[in-house]
Amino acid sequence: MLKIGDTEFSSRLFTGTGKFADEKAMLAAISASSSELVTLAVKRLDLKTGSDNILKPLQQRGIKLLPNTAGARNVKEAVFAAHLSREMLGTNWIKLEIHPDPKYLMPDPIETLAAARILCEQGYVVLPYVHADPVLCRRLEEVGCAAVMPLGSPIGSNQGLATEPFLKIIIEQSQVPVVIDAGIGAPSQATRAMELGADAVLVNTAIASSADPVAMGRCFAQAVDTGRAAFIAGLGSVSKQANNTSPLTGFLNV
Amino acid sequence: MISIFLNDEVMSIADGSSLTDVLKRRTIAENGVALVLNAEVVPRSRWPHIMCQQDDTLEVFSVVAGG
Repeated sequence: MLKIGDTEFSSRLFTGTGKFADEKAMLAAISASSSELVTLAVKRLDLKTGSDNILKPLQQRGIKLLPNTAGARNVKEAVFAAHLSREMLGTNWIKLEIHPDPKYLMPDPIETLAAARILCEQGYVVLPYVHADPVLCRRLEEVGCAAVMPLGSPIGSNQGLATEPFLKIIIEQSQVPVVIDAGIGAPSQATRAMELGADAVLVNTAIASSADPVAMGRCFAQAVDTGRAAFIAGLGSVSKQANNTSPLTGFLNV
Repeated sequence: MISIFLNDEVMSIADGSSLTDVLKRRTIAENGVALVLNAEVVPRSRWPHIMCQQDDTLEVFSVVAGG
């Protein structure tokens, strides 16, 4: 069973709550995905329109909440966002994401490491969203992060595991769970991530933007289970040349 | 009466009103919101005990969908 901090998860599929057509679709898709951890964002309340009604139904379903620091551009803003979400949701779990560039949403490694150090010292369970940088992931582990969340490809791009060679190194080296976050656009890519030995994947856009998010949520659940089972079973080795699976002698040329 | 800024709106409230009173006045549910008073995050346990002062800037944050 996957354990992050002091929490155990039977599902290795984490989901985001963004981009769904409405709250009903979001809740139905998350239920279908069997996800036990969902990400949320914090925002200044619009006094005229009120707040989203997503919190209560998620809490009622017993789903663990992982607020993020999206929108933060530096250490100060990320720490502020973490303090906000702790008071808001009563959780010390935080998805640390600092991406000042709005076009590619590339996480800033320097600000992220500095913020992670502060938040870990303050007792947060920090899950940092980072580029697939094995050196950075080790540094984040050293400052006390509960997991690392390297990206497969840019957020919401559905480009899959463009960083695969580096994800392999991170998975090999990491002493904390590795959650592949961002860019996973198809269940097959989630399977691949799990086959590589990732501990979990975080999927949002691929489910939310599907024509049938409930069915897609279910597909991702199956894909993650399959990939995990294949990893445990052990993949065969890859070779450059063919290796026969049937005997090639003793039939026609006796 | 005093006036405060609530998410940039000017709001008049009775002297001695606490942060909890402000939320009640605006019918904002306490569950799922965080309060920032003059740029400082206020712990939830302090909300009933902090009295608003003239020209205070109070910001209410809430949870929204996100990835």
